Amino acid sequence: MIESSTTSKPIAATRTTLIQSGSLNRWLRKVPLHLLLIILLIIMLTPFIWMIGMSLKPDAEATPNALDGVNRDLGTLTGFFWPKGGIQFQNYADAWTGNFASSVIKHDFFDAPFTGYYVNSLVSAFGTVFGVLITSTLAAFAFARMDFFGKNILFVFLLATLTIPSEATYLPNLVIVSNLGLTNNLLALIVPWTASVFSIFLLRQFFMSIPLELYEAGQLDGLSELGYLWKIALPLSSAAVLTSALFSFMGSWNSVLWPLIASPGTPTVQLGLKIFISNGDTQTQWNLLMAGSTIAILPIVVLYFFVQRRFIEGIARSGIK
Amino acid sequence: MATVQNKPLLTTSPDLSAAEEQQLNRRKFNKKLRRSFKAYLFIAPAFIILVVFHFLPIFYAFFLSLYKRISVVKGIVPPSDKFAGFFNYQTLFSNGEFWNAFFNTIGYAAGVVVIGLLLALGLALLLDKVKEGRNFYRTAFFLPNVTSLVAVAAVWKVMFTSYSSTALTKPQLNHPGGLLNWIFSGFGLPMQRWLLDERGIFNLIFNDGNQGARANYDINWVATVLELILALVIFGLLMAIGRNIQRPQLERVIGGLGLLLALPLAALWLYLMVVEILGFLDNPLGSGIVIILLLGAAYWLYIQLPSIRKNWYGWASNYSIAVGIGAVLAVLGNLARGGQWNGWLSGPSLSMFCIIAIAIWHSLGFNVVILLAGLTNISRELYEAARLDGAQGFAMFWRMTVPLLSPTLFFLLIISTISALQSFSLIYAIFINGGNSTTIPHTISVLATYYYQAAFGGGSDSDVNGFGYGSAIVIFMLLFILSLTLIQQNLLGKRVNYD
Repeated sequence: MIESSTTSKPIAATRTTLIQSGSLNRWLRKVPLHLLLIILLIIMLTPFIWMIGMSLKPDAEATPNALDGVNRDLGTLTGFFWPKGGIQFQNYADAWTGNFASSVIKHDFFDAPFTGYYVNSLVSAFGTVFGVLITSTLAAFAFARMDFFGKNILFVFLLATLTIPSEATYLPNLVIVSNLGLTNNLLALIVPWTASVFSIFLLRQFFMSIPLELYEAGQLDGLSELGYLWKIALPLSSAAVLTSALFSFMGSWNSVLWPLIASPGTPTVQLGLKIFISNGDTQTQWNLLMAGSTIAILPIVVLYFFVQRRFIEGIARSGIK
Repeated sequence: MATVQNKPLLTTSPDLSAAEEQQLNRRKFNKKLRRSFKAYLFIAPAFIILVVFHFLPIFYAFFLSLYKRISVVKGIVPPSDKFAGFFNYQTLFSNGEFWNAFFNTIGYAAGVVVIGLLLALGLALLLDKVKEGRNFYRTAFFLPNVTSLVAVAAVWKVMFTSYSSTALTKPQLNHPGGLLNWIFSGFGLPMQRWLLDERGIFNLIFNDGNQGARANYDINWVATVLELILALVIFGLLMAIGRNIQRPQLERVIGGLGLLLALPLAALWLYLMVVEILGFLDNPLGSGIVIILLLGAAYWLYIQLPSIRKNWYGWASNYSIAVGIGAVLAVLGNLARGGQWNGWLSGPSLSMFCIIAIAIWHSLGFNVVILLAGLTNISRELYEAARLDGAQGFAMFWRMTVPLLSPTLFFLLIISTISALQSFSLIYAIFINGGNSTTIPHTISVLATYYYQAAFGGGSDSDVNGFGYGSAIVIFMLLFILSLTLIQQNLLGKRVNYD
């Protein structure tokens, strides 16, 4: 549409020369598009804005009937999303320690429930990431640069495992894990997930795009395969490494059903949050409920913002053949 | 790749004797065998984990599904007196709860995949036009995707809260509850019970949630049918003519005629809208929205002015088509109010609809990022060539963008279907309250939650729970997902344009 109006310039030339010429016009034409995108973005991010605003509100503003009888105009809209009676960071401490207004026993930081959830989640997430990176790098390198019998068949096997719904493996895995004596042990949350087909594919794609000459030069210099991987291939594929690391971290941190089945005795943050949500007090103290939710998603969001650019590049590349 | 590296060894000169050649071949074979062992060492860690925890479990699940009333398995083989053959499958297929969960899953997946992909495509097309700040938008739209569904479910549950006091059974104007009802009441729309409402959405839209048709709703059948016929005739005529006529002279006549026919209809429509809007304008939010929409429309018309002047008959016929579509929709909506919206016809329940909306919100960013990558991959020269050939607007989108994007769309279709069919966390976080006391509404129960309830919800004291029955459910899910993927590949895979 932009082209059609600029090519038909003579028609409206006399009146709109000023607007039609130069960068001002181009800039003006972009405004509605950006405006539309920003409105869509605000709609998309409303839950987060609401969550953070609500988590900072004082108790009186964060009950289900806090909105009763308010005027529905734009003025109250801001008060709706942001605390009027002062920002209250104390909510986060109270959510972390589970100190509701009605709680009898008050916890301090170290015996707080969320401390335990965090330790469990961090250990299992980092364990999973570590395992995935090792197994995937090795396998991806083999599929990218080595020639061996049955390579194609094994690759098809990898593809086939992608279509297996993970639910189908939970019950058998529970039996395996309990026979190994790992129930209610963090290893149960780590070991089954230390291989990722997605990471293998992604790393393989990156490894294959590294010029073959580098590999051959390394071999001539007496560099072993592992040396090549560590010194050349991995540094050159940092986007893929970051993407698979964050994906595994997300998968571990956000998983619900498997920790619920295999290890309810060592609750992760998600299970802890579920316990926290199910607490009757959160029905009347929305500020603590939202503070708890913020605590549960904070690490992943922080990590995401640190690596977002390369992470998104990695995902974008995974979709293209 | 590695074969390239072996090339120098493979070149056999013709003057080699047969024995030498054989020896060379054996050396080559031995070398590859040695390399293979090394490669197997490299892939072993990943494959051991995949085989033990992802591949063999399927066969073991099938094995477990042959036993009934087992909940704890010591060792690998359950006690032989619990062996029941295909009894679990028999129970499964004759169980109403299972079929309910199955059809709910299909509805859920269809909603999430179809609506989700369409929205993502629209957003990706918008983002494709942006140069400055594209990275910022991409990062921000992707954000929901990294957050956990349990936390997100807590937030949405609060936003969907429908009344502020337990004494109420219906949201009221001065007790709106959460954000959504606040916005709805701000726009003068009826407030809803959202996640708690199990009535179908068509029932809610067309019948105000009454169980049957509205008792005293009179339809002027003669007028309605005439309206419908008129609208269809205008619409069909203009569609057919506007598309096929090549002669500008005739198109001009048809465009004028269409304008004449469509103008009265448009005037009536506009009048009705103004009446509606006047009620809407009472509140500042409503008038703000109307002003923004009017400004947007005015701006768009201003941008299009040169093109309208150049080709007013084309615009007139397109405009008449739009009016025709609007009239058909208005008449159909009018007719729908008299219908019976019970059972299947009432559509997905409002609570299921909310769940689908949350799921789409959560997965949108991922789809957008992948589609955007696909779009930027289409070369600009192809677009230019098509534009020089006269392709514009919708034709460009349908004949250029969609075919060139089809591999990406297909990839997303398969990925999101598989993940939608096994989604669990969202419904678990919203509807299952603590421990194992499970309270999932009838219209929300999907296969994954049904599986969770059956296998882990309540011991193994009946034929419809325990590990055996649960395994039968996942084996069914597995076969269903596999066959659906195969069907998608066979039906659509051939139309996908790889090059």
